[in-house]
Amino acid sequence: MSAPPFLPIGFGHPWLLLALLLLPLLWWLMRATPPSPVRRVFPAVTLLAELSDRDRPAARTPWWLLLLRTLLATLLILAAADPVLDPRPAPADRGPLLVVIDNGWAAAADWQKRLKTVRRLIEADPARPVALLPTAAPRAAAPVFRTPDDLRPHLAALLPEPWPDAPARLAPLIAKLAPSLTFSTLWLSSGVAAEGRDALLAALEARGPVRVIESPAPTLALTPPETERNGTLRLSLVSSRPLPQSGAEEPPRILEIVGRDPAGRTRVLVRRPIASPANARRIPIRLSLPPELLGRIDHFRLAGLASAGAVSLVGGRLGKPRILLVAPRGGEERERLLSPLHYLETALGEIGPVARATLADAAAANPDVIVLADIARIDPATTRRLERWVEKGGRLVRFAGPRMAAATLAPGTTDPLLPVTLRPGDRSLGGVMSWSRPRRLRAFPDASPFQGIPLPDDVTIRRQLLAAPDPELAERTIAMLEDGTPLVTRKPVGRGTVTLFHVAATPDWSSLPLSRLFLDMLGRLATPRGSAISAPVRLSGRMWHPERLVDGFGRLAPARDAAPVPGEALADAPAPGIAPGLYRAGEMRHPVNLFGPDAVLAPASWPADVPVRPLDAPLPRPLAGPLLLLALLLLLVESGAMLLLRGTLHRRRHPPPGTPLLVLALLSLAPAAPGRAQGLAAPPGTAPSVAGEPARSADPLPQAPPPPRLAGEALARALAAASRTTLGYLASGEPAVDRIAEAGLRGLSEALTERTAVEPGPPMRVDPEKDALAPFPLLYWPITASTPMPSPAALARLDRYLATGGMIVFDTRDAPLAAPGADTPARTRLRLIAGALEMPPLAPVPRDHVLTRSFYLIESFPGRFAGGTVWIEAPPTEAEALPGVPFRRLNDGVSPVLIGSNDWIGAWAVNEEGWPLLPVGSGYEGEMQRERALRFGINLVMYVLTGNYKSDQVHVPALLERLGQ
Amino acid sequence: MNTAPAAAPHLAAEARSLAERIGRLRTEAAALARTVALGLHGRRQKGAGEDFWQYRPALAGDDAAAIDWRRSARDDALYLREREWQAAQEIRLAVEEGAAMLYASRRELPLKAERARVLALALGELLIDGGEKVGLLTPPLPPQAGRTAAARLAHALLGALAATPAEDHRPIPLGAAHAARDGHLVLIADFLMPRDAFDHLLERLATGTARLTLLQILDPAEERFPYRGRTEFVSVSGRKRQELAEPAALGADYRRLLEERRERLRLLARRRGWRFAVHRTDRSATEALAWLVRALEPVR
Repeated sequence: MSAPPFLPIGFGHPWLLLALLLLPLLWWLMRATPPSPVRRVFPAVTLLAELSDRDRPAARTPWWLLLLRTLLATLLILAAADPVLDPRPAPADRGPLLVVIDNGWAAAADWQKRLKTVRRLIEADPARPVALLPTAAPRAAAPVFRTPDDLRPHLAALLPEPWPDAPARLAPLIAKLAPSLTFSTLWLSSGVAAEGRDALLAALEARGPVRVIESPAPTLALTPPETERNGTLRLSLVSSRPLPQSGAEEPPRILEIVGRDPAGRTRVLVRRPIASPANARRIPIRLSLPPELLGRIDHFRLAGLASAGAVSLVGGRLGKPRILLVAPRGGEERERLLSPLHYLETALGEIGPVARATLADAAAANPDVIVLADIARIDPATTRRLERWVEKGGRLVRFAGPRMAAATLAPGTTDPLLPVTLRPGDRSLGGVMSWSRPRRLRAFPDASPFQGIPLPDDVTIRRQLLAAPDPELAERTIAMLEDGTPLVTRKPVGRGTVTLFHVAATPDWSSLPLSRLFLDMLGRLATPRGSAISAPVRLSGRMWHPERLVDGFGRLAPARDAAPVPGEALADAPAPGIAPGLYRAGEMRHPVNLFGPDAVLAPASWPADVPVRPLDAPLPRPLAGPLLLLALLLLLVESGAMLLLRGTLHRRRHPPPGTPLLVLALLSLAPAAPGRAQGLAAPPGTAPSVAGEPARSADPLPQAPPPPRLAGEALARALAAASRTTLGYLASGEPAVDRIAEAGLRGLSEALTERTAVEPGPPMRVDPEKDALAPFPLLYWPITASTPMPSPAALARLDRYLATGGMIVFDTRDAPLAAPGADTPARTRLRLIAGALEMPPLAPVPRDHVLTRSFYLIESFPGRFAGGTVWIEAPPTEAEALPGVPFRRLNDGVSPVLIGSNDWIGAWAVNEEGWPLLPVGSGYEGEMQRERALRFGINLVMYVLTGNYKSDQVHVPALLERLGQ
Repeated sequence: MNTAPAAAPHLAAEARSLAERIGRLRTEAAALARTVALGLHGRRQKGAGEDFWQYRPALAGDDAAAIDWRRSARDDALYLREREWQAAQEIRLAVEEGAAMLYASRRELPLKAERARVLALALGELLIDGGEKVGLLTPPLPPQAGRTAAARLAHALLGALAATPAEDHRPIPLGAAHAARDGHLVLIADFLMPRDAFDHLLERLATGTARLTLLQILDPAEERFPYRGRTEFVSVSGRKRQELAEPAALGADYRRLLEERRERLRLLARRRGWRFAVHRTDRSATEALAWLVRALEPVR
């Protein structure tokens, strides 16, 4: 191999590059032979001969094609010369190779890169014996030399462990190997100092040369959180190397606090960026979190870092809250269900152990929660004691009641054990003497600890205590009635809280104590004191069962079938075999983290004579493969260009012979770009929908959506349709029928132009999905068995069209096929489609319908077929014949639909020359029928355009007569 | 002596396939004729003819000589004997021959020659059914009426399909038929012959006296000229070729040339009261036949 100094590319067979000298010859050769044209048989060559003067065929190959081909040849020659990027002289030693891998937590962040490096190293020489020695294996074992092929599964099974590297145990194993065995060593270092590394290095150097590969990136870790005196949490981000200052190119790292949200799902509760000052190796983080959040924290982690070091666990809630219940004095014996404490005791009993105490003793017992039921007066000494208890994290929950309602405070004084100042007296809702009705609850505000609890409908409040207006009232209210008055208020006092329910704990005031809601609300309030950060526990003397464990990549998973660990071993944890995680013994739970709170990450240090290479250093990489791939791509481009030049690509029906090959080649390239197909998928339906009122609309529908905007082609079509009266037809699903529909409407349009004042433009095919329907006074819809069902959006637009004055003529074109009681396929289809539209009640066209006299006087409505029943909107039943008037007053409006099967379009259809397309009937009779069909068509269009005008004309004689009098 | 060449089996197979094709085309023509027969205005009405048509009661003013005494004797009233109207026209059909007609741009389309002959045959059968005399220009067949005429017509029309002409366009032998006063000539052709031949044909047509019905039959590709990329165009016979580097750029010019020819034909037809239409092979044959039938109707 030779390696030119200026470029890190070497060639396996440099002499093959001489072939590049032949390129000019190749250029000349290719220039001489242009691509041959496609040959086609074409009878009108004679006409082409008159054209050909202006067209000179290309005699030469285009230059870009030449360039492409020359490039292709160059690539092939270069690939044949076996180029290698970044050639590196192979290690001089050819003996066995020992690969030491640090697979502790610190190596997890770039584990894939490490594995890839090792794989490439051992695959470089398939004959060389290689052994693996992971430093953090749960069980230390002497290395075994194998062929690279045999080693591959072992390598694939190697994973980072969630504990630190422990190289100290390995030195004796290396020393115990056969004395004659020598090997060179490659150490993939994690970059973090580990105990006993020097001893192992010494043992390895005794056997042969040692090289080290180490990542220059800093290794990060989180220390476990500690609670400070004032309740804030403190933890640190530590790094093995000085971190650069966070800024634009160095985004701050994100600390995530994971725990249960109010609904009980585990998710990230808080995300906090950690800005790093310049050259810091330890960044302290201080967090002050609301108390109810503290109780739900599960663990801390660094976002985006897959390593056990980036996870820091907290103890979680230990056991249940201890609750003390204080009953109002009074002592009179009551029935059980009337006892103010019965509901509280029942509900709280589900949450934790409940004890009863007197008010004076409550604070001294130091429970997690004290519940005071309707206690109005607390003497000053007890108040002070309770205050101190709350400040230390106690939760005081008070309930209103008749006593509290009756109590009055001296003006100007406040009760420190109430979250708000109360107004004297209470408010009744919905009693005999009251106008108002019992109130329901409003949804809990977002900041409320109750947020997420479903609200039942049946909870109503009849009486409540009202709070005096106060600027802080809103923020202290954590539950309110639908009129905004507080139901529950709370204020923080020190590390604890004081909460007041503005209703009694009995069903006298509200139905709340009877509801499941009561239990849920109390469950949110009565949480264990302090936070999730548990106090130190005595470990020794117990067996600790792993509950959830952290794996090497920092994932927290339930421990299944993991053996319990004696407390003594847990004290030194984590160590090989004992993963960090949550361990449990009885009621106690203990988090095991990788580090202590004051841990420091020291970088690994190596003696000067050991060569250290960065992990990302490039390895020799053969280039022949990519070059050949590129050449293949160029070949494809070239073939495409040739097809283009020869015009073969434009043949639509028969793909050129090269196409299957091309498709195959493209398919073989497909895995290189996964997900491309998805990228090509059509964007979600943004079809420009078009609506608006048809031309003669009366009133817009009250709930009509705003007319969507038209754009592009749809707009152009709508303008064309609106600029002249235009008849439209809807697709029947069969191209042949659509052609007839177009020809039929053209025939009708011509007849209209000849005979009437209506001069329609050329008929248009209307797509109800896209086109504006409003400009069309009439839509003809030939229905066949294969007519597609319009989309719901299109149906809605058609409905709108019908409702706002449009008319659709349905034609199944199968009158002769009709048999009583049996549906033709087209009619079945019609039934289906019409069923989806909003149709008025239908009836056969009455003899005196305005359709029979809107232009011509006609009696029947034949098309190509006669005798099919024609249906139209049923006349109103109250219409009756007026005396002296020959016609009933029917159809004040115009029927939105006309349904028939007489194939009118078939009778109207003409070709471009104006000659009828299809035969009608037989002989002269047939032509008369065609004429009647045309007359019906003209009447139909007149009816659509003029509505009941002709019907009104009927009254003209009567009106004139009256005017004359 | 056995002189059969080695190609005899091949010829036999070809003959068989031709026979099949002709059979198919005949069936097609018959079916086509049936679809239009409904719409055809038959000659079934009274007129000057030989055959008995109907008796009708005599009215005042009728010629006494017209009274059929034999019929009147069977009844109290007087009856007239009316004869069927039999004004037989002589109609000659001409289908352009030449290799250029043996063309279809797509496999599913019929050859132009096939479509033209099917149309001619169907028309001929309809006309013969209607009592007309129908003849052919190529191969020459004098106008005949009657049952055998249809078979003879089919034989002559479809038999001509067997031969593949060497030249792309053959002049249409208008001959004396064209000059006949009461003659009616139906000419089905693609009108794509070289310019001078086309000019000549138009000149000849213009000087004739017979009523003409012209149908230009074209393949959709000839109508649209949908080609792109460098192409060498070869005529069906292979005698003429033309290479174009970018046919797409010339499409509009081509269509203009085609339209120019059509316009000349249309103009001629309008001036002389003749009929001219264009039929594309991807359209239904019924349409063209219906048009032909109408075009041949006597002006009422």
